[in-house]
Amino acid sequence: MVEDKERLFTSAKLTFLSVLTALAISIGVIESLVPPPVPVAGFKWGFSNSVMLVILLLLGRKEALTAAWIKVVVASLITGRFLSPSFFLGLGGSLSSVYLMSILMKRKFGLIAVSVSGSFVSNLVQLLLAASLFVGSVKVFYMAGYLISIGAFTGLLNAIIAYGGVKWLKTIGILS
Amino acid sequence: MPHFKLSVQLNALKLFRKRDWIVYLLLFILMGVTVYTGMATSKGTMVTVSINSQVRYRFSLQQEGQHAIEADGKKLMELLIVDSDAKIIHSACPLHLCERGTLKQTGALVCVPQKVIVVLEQNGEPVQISDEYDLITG
Repeated sequence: MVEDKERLFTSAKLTFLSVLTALAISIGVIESLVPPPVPVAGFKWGFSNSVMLVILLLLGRKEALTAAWIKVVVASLITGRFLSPSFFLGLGGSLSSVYLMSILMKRKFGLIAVSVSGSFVSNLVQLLLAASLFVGSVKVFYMAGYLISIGAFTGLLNAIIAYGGVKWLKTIGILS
Repeated sequence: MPHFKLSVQLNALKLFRKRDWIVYLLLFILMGVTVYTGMATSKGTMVTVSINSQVRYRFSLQQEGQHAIEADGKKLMELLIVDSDAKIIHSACPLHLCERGTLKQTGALVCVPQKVIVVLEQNGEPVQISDEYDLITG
């Protein structure tokens, strides 16, 4: 009986993870069709981060990191940016932001603080990668102020979306 | 068997917590510093174009019109200077992400695949360093 329950738990987790990863991929692909806020390859609105927040809340760090790299790889395959500079910037950005968000969430920070600092670290890592690997100049940091302001805004929105999403899952009875 | 109930880490579901102030303070300071430096750099009057971390072109913001940006005999893009602001047009890169936004708006124009970065600088003479000149000076 216990074994059955555990198996059910694992398959429920797997289902959740798959559905949420698919959602993150579709958000990422749709995002690549709208103009990004900043004129640098690899920088995006980052709304799929709200899905990463939900995965962190419901499942945990390992699952969120898995979802993050699958999301970046599949979304870049669909949009034709696989192994291009924007793919590496996106990969570094989302993995680092998910990692930091999981740490902050464990330390019991509020959802908005977690999400905003996640988007901040994602921007910072992308700038560092762009400066060191691709452009070879620290001058890309001239646009850091612009990026961080937009990142704070989308981070705030992501937190509210994730909060509302989990609340909704609770009201329809999937979560207790 | 009813719905499967999943409730892991749901105690974290709060938008604000008391200890958040440290995160907001840090972010506020970093935002202030970066926005301030961005404002300071956008006051420059010389548009500097670096390719592969070497300064290749420098235009004044008064030099309105289209300027071709070339490297190794290949045209990479055109720099459009209008109304004391600059913009990349007709770039040869695949995604054309560098053509979005203007220099004053974002603080820098970057074309990652072609390793081109355009920023504003306070001083300097207008230059156009060709590849031959580069060979002589080393």
